[in-house]
Amino acid sequence: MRFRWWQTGMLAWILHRITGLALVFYVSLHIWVVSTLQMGKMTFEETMAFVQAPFFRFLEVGLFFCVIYHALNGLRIIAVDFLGATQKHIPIFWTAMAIGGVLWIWGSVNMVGHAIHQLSLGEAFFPF
Amino acid sequence: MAVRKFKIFRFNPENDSKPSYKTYEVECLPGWTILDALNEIKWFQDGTLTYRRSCRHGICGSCAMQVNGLNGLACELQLAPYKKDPIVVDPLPGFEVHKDLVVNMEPFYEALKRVKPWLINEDAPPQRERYQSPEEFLELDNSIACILCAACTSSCPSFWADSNYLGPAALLKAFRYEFDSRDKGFEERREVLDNKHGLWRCHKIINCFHACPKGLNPTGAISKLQQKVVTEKW
Repeated sequence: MRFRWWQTGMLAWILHRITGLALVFYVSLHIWVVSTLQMGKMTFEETMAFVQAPFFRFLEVGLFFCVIYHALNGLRIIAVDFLGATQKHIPIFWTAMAIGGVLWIWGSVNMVGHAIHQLSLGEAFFPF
Repeated sequence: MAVRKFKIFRFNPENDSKPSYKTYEVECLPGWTILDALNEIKWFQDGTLTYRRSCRHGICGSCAMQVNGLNGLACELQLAPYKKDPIVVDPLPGFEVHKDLVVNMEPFYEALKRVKPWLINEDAPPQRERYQSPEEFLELDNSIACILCAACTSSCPSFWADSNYLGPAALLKAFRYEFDSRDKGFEERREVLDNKHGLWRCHKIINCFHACPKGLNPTGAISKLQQKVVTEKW
């Protein structure tokens, strides 16, 4: 099979799937972290301290990418479905990506900055 | 005159255990299409090369194939835009290969039959004709122009993964009748459309729209059908 998979529509779909699965994984993890509240304040705070280590800040950069990509591409699919934007789906995709890219860089700079600040205070990179 | 190289998918199930590619050098004239080059190969170099072709006017839909990774009609694809050699020619993906560039189109026609691609209207015919206004005709968005070449269905990853999926061509045909002001067959088609192998298998990858040699929009048609099915249901 030699089909040209690197067309905009194909790329958009494959990335939508991957980021979607990543978000399902994250949401499950998130629910588990929050559920530690049931086991008392101490357990919850220990868990929170664990997931706020610099290592996880870097993972959050990836999470932020997944959220932005999935949301913006979702809007593109809504435009294709409800506004009949099939003919314009390529410029819509790249416009969304440009907006998403700016948001992602802006957010990532903050997250990485925070991680560097934590490291400068002597926190270990890995919490484990 | 320019010599161009063509790397063509070859497979003869009677002799070959697996497919291979064979490269041909062809002296091409300006203005030639992929089909002209294939004809040159078949007629003067290698008579065993097998492919479908008929009208060479882009209206019979026989010569749909994959050229450099994209589906199209060999008779409509000009050589000039392909700057790099070799030009790679494959059969339509997603279908079983009978021989070389000829694929088994039966699943495609089966899917088409499932959507009942004919006018369903039990009302007694009027004296002259079942009238359709020009505005009502425009609703069909030129979907009547489909030539059933299968370039769209074969470009659809959802179809590759699910051979029971109707595919964009059959769904476009369903749209053509569902949105025909004279048709009353919604109840008869609903079951086959509102189904995980029907409308809901479409993931809006939009390959079909780019593959269509007639410039039709199966993705848009699927969206409209999905909206119709949901609105009628709720």
